[in-house]
Amino acid sequence: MKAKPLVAGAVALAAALAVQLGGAGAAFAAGPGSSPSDNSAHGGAVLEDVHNEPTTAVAGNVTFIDNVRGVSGYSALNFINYDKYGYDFMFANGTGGLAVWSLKDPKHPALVSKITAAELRLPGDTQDRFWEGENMTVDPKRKLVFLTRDPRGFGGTVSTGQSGVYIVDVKNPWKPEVVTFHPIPAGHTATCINDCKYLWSVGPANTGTPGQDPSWKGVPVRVTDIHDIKHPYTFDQAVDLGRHDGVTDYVHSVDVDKNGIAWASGEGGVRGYWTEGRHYDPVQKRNRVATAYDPVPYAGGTVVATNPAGTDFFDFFDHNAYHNTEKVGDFDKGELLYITNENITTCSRAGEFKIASLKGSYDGEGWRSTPENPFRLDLISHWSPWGKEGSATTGSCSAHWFTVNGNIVAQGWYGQGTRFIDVSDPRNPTQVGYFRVPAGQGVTGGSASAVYWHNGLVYVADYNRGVDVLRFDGKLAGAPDDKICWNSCDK
Amino acid sequence: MRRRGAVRSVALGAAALVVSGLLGACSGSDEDESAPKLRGEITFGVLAPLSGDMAERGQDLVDGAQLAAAELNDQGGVLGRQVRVVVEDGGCTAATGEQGATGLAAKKVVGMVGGLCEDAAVAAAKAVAASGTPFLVSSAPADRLIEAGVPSAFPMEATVYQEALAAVHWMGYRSTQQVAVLDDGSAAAQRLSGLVTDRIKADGLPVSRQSTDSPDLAKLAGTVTASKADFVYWTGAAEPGGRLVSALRHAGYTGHFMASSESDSPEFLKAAGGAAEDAFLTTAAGPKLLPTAADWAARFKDRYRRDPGRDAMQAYDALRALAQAVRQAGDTAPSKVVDNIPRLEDFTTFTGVLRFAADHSLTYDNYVIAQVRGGTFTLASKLRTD
Repeated sequence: MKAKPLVAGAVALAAALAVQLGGAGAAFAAGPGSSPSDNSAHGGAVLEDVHNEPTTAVAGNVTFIDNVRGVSGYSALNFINYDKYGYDFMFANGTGGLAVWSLKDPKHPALVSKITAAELRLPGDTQDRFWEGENMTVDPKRKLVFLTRDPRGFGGTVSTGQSGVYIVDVKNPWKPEVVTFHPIPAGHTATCINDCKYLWSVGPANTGTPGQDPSWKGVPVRVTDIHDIKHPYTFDQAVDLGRHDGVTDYVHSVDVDKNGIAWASGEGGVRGYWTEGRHYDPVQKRNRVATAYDPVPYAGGTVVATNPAGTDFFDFFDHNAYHNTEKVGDFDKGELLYITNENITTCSRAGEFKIASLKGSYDGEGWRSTPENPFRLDLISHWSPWGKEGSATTGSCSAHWFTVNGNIVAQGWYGQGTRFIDVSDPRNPTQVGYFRVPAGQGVTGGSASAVYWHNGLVYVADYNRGVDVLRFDGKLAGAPDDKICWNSCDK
Repeated sequence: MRRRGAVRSVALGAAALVVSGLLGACSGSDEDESAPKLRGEITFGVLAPLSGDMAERGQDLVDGAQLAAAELNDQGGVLGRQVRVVVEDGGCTAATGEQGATGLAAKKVVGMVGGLCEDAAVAAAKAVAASGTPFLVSSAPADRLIEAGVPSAFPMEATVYQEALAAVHWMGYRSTQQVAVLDDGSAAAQRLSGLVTDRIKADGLPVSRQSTDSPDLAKLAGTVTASKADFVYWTGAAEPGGRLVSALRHAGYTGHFMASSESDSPEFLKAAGGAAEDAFLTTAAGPKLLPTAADWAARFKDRYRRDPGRDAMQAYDALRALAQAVRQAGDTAPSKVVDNIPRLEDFTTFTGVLRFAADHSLTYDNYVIAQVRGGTFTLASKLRTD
């Protein structure tokens, strides 16, 4: 592929650190009170923000458009459309807390409000450090954002920290309000289930987290009823037990597909569950009603290890996944599962992007797997940037969060930046674009956590840089998706 | 125990009686020479019916508050001052409630606890709204208090809606597939059955709802059994609830049976006979059900030579919560105390963390699941994971 000019001509940023001032010159958002009727290009008052021009970036088929910092670097983003304003807002969470941007001008997000980590502190916390809200989930109908608190946040540890979720009302995006912090004995990530009437909170790894069964190696799925956010209720019984060849282990991510199936990824594989409707339960061998708190198994498992220098943990650590409900190549409709296998190790051996077939897993096989008689999905292919154009050779290089548009996977790879992978031929994933930011004078080096297709642009949640706004200049393979799945495709 | 609405109509004599003064003086702990030296006093008010049909429960409430005050003083008081409790008869009507609250306000109380009858509690809350006196309403039903929206009033009972949530969540734990919700046609029972039914529907579970005031429960039992429901929830009165579970078992029903707090009564057990065994109940947590309250109940009995009732437990927790809010505020100014009530730090009642939502309802309610075992109610689940 051909490397293209890095910075869009129209967005020549004057300085490495530019300050964006609000239309009204306000240092603090005054609320939308007046919002859309304001003359501001962003629909209302905006806060100061920092923009870091990546003059050191290496890119192929990608144009850098803008960078925004907000309150910190970020692990995740999400988006909500507001009919009343006629445009979207972008939400990001990271160590600094929550930041909210107007996307009235989608190429140049305008910071409109924030909730800092200091404002999220609970009694007993020793640091102003939110941790960390990967796979951020939102309720676009009720205009709610959920900030998942890991026990390692705010100075805690897996055994001493407080996990749970901050429920934030963003009906007024200029004035987000924490409705409540709800403690949950899980909290590395969380995902809305059943149109956001329930929340599945998962992780982290390790035992010792308060409220856990000591036999568990990691935290499985905890189900919270959030029909009424004033009165959240977390069930005492966990979901997705015995996931790693019969052992209950760390669930890292839950991602809901376009058919409403919730896919729980983590140590021991990826397993899908119906959470609504009446379905055949291949484990209980009967038809029954699925609920968020008593879901019906669908399919799934893990794949054979691909790393010759793997470890017991990382070999089967399926970090997150996307179930493609469509037909791809000569594979059946809904057959393929795209998986991030996270492995934090040398770049040449770091975790990969994998494609697996669900064939042979629809009869509860993944729920009957044992160390003596392990069940494994067929591995179709695996891919990493190692040795590919635009790659680094040192640093942190594992596969991380991705979203899919048509047949193009846009994925964050920590120090390897953002990679665009064409999976039209699932047996042969091919890089068709990249964007990586090495550190340099005045340039914050990149560590891409998650990449989001959104309305023709690509937004990167970067642990160091904040949010980079990019444009993929390559050809979009496959049929473009009407709705991109950011953590949940549920309705 | 019949809670919902039952106490509303109880009337009390016209005059509110001032019946108590300094509580610290009657605390046995005052004789302890090692007790910390306290300087000055901090006065809390207790509002309770002290005569008429509810007098026994009212005294229970007062005793619970007195025990809390005594223990607070043993532990160094509040802000280094001795806790003093004054009591007013709030009766059970709006007029007596208002009069009692006004009497407490005149005594310059830092805050109030108590309130048992709904009409009296609502009127009392409104009476002190202007002064902003914090009022932790310990026993009165919560719904009307929340509707009243008094910024300084915080009900420590759950709402009817929260009883519905407790019922639905327990059904979830039992892997329920089809539910029959039955009521006796009374307004209160219909409200609860409606809330439960709507919430079950929202989860996509098949549910039927039926009202009956017929004494012939055998026919109803037959209908339920034929419907293949595997969970029956009864929201009506205790005695017919007992007869219903008996009729269901007689008709061959093998699924779960649960009744609302209306059936937390010996009448239910008597009417059901052996069929009551294993039946569940949604009910407000009381000292008899909660193992966490056992030590406290023993202390109460040691002091008052009787077992505590639920009103005592609620008032005990309410006074401690009020004291905690004052400690956190570091001040007795009403507005500062009120500000701290929704964010008490490291404070738990016998059911768990005490927190209030923006509308002042309990964030985490005190409904628990009881189960009949050996002919008596036992705790099946606190339904709390905090």
